[in-house]
Amino acid sequence: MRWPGTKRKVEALVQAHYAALYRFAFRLSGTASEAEDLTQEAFCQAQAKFGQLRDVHKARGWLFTILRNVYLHKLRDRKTANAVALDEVGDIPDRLPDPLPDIEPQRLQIALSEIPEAFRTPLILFYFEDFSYRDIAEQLEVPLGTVMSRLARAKAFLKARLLVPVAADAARGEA
Amino acid sequence: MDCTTVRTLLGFARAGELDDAERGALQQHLDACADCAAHSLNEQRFDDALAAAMPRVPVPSGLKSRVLIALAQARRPRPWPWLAAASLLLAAGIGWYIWQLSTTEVDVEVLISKVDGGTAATPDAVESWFSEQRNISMQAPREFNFELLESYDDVDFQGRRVPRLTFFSRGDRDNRASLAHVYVLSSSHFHLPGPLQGQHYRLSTATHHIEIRDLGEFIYLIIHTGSSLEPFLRRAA
Ligand SMILES: [Zn+2]
Repeated sequence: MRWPGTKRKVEALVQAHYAALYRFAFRLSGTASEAEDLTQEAFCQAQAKFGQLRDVHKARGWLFTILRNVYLHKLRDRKTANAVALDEVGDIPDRLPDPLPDIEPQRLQIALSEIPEAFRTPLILFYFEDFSYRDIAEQLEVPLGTVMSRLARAKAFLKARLLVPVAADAARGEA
Repeated sequence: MDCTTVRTLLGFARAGELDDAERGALQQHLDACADCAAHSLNEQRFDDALAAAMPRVPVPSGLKSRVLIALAQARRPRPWPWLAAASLLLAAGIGWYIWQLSTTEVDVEVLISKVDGGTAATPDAVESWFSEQRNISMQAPREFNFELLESYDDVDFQGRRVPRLTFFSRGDRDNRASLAHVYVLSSSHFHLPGPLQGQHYRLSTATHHIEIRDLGEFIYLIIHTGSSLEPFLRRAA
């Protein structure tokens, strides 16, 4: 590998994507220290296999895929005891409070950590990075339909987790 | 279009997977059906709220610098491939490299192999010894008197292992012993500074003389004591 050219290009990637990659890592892992480790490791791996990046315009998706793989690798030995079955969500009111209260980032993170990774990742990618369903399907190497159904279920879970208590509180307040 | 289909299509609409006709039909239903319109609005508001909350993650200060430092450290050549090579050689029973690198138990077999080398006093034998024992292709300096060959082995020269032959002369003219080292450099690894290329070049210090001979494929660097190289060379029959 000839470092001088690679060095410049990888540093440009860092400049352009480090913040987004860190945010993604944080939403995936839930802690700042783990998110930083993931970000550094992902960039180191990207540098090592920089030659595999064929299209610079796809660098962002490429980096996200690398980071997710790093995360999955670390996750493999760890128990995901707090992941719940997504079917076990409560009833969701058809009418949401208007206006919707802001979603607290902290609450969002707690709810995310309860979702299995296969559902969490598409959700994060979709809401936070403007990846299309097709982009996500390509990254996760699953069919488009799978992405859609996982997103729908993860979203229903989040809605129950994030909005129902708020809606109940609001109803109680009104009474 | 029934309400169940519409709920499904709303998902596809978000995915950007609907064509114009489908989008038109969907909008027509939403305009006419208050339930689906409310559902769609709820979805849209929840999507917006999530999209606003998801990226709200503070990025620690100095993160970029720390990433760049980690990358620079990863770029530094690591010492271990060299160490691995050394331990491989050790495992293969060739302790000779290690001998020069650190304190090591004296291996009698190494001594014997040196003696073996020392007895192979013809240019052909020396060449095949380097080829077989050191995997180095070299050309022995045939103009030298190989009866004076004292020892030979590979030594470090500017980061590479190169053959070095040492000749010893008792000196029959002025009765002073002298020593000549001949380094054999392959031109696939070394080249001479421009002005010296293709030349026989000689320079002297207070105690030594240095002679450089460019043979094309190989370069001989000769360092010797005594006033001339003459005593080391083969005599014309
Ligand atoms: Zn309807």
